[in-house]
Amino acid sequence: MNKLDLSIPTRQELRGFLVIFAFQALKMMRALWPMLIILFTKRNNLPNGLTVPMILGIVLVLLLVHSILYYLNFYFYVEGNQFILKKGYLKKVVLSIPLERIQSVNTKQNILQQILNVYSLEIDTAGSAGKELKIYSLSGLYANELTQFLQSHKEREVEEQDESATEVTEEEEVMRLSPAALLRIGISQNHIKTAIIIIVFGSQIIGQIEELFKQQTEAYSDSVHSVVTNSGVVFIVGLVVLFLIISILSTLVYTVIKYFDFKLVKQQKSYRITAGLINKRKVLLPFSKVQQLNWETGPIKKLFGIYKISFKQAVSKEVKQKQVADAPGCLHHHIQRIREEVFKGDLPDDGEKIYAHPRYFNLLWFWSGMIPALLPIPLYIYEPLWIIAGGAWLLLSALYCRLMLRKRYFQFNKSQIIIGKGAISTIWQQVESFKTQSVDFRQSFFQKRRGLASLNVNNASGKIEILYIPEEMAHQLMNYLLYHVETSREEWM
Amino acid sequence: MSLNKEFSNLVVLPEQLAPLEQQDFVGLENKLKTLKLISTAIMLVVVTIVFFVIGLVLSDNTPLSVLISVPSAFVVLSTWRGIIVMLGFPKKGYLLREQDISYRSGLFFYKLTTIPFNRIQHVEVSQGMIEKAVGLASVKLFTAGGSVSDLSIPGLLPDKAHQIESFLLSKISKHE
Repeated sequence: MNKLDLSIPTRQELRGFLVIFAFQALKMMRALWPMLIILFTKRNNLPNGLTVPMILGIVLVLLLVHSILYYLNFYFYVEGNQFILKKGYLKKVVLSIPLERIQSVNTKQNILQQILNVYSLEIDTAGSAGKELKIYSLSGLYANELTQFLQSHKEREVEEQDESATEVTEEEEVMRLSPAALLRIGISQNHIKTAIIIIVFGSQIIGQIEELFKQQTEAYSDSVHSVVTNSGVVFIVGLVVLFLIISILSTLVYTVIKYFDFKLVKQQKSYRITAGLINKRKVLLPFSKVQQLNWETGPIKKLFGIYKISFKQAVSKEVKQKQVADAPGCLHHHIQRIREEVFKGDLPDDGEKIYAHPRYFNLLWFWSGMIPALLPIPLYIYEPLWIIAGGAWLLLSALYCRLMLRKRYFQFNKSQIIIGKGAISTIWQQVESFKTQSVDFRQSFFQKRRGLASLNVNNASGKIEILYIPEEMAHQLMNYLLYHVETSREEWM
Repeated sequence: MSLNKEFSNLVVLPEQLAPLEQQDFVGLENKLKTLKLISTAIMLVVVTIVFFVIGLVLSDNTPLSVLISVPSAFVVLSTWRGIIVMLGFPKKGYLLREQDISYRSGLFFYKLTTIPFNRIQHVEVSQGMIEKAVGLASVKLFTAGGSVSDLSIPGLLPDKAHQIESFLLSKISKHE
């Protein structure tokens, strides 16, 4: 029933040529911006008869020719079991990807692409071809067709024996974010982090501006200085409030841009996330490819009763970019539903929660409390008042480490593991046992004396850490996990 | 602390999956230990020479106490490292079973990694310059995902390394 024949070598959509041109220009800018700066600053030293506009014109024409050649030599098609992409005119590149190696297919639309009504398509593989596989200009029809073909290929393979598999794709909305929800998410972000970023960058920018206008500011600086020193506490409090407001506003803007019109839709055995104001993202998440589910809540998020859940997919070695897709602003029942749907089998929620041994506190406090408090010993000798600060640090870090200890637990059943952790905020991680790639058993000298050990359970998207559990339990769990993986016939991706 | 019911039911493992910790690991070649000791000694000599060049040649008034204490600190650290290499070496070893491969190491920070054969993406034998000179090789195992789950077994004779490689390759292809 394909309206399009995907096996015919196809060029990108012509009306999206502007997009291709823009991306090529961006790529060149990224490589050549130091030259451009030199060009502008040294414009007086140019050889006779050459002007800056002329050079820019030449570059632009070359870029245009390059883009045209790039466009003309860019083909993609499906041949047998492979997706093939040919590109390049000076150096010809043929990329062929076995369909079963394809991890995920994502479509995106930035503002230019929205105007021209074209999509860009990214194909992630488990191997190393990485982000080479990017098509910038596709018609909506073709993008959809290709995405569905590539995505469904594997499932189709599996379901071939299964005659009842119907072609009808049922869609069901799991959640969407209303403007009010966006507001809540924006407010409940970590503002301290944003404030620090703003303060750091802001102070740098202010410093640079000051340098530039030194002469002019010098006259005012004395009066400013006196105001600053005289107003003291009021000024600092005002500054903090100001930064907090700026931080909340900027996170709000960021949240709206990123999660505008957020929708999480269930489609057979996968989720589809669409979101974005300027850049429209569309991420497909087949359940079988989700390696790990992380969800978290913080003090303010808790107040609103919202969580953020991330779907972690396999990362390839070359592309260090995080293959995560987020769904912020989930309510508790959304989390429950997603967790039940994505992974097979029962949730391990009823299992006993096994908490980290209190000795874990010693490790945490040693590194975050003792060491930072003891390092400035010379300072204490010269300036004994600092001892109070050191003591306060020891106390505060002890409280913080205590929080970390109390939130660190794990629970499991025969097919899944859940980890709980965090300090101020609370984070949970859930994995399926058979998707484990390898297991590390770790035991320090201090753990050995107490008969304790830790496990790292590695999967294709990262790892989960089961810390400070009894040695015997760690051994048993490791043996069980290995047994589970080794006897499993299921595809882990 | 007791394990829950589901788990203890499944703990009855097939015979070939006898508990990992009770099995005999194969130690690494002694040459690796010698190599590590020699490299520690070379490191000590190089660092000490660099220190004296900076302390005596480039600046005139380095106090005598510094000239004595810093190199002796180097000596203490190197000796410590040497002791760790000596004592830690017998802890290092690998174990091949029917379904998985394990590697362990660490004197104070013990670590045992196991990768099931059906999760290995690919295998290679690598020989660095120094390894080649002394006739050693490493087997490297790659799994999907980040480098956290990769494993390298050093200190093998080249023949042995290739044997392990082909054994693993045959196991991997069986799974596909």
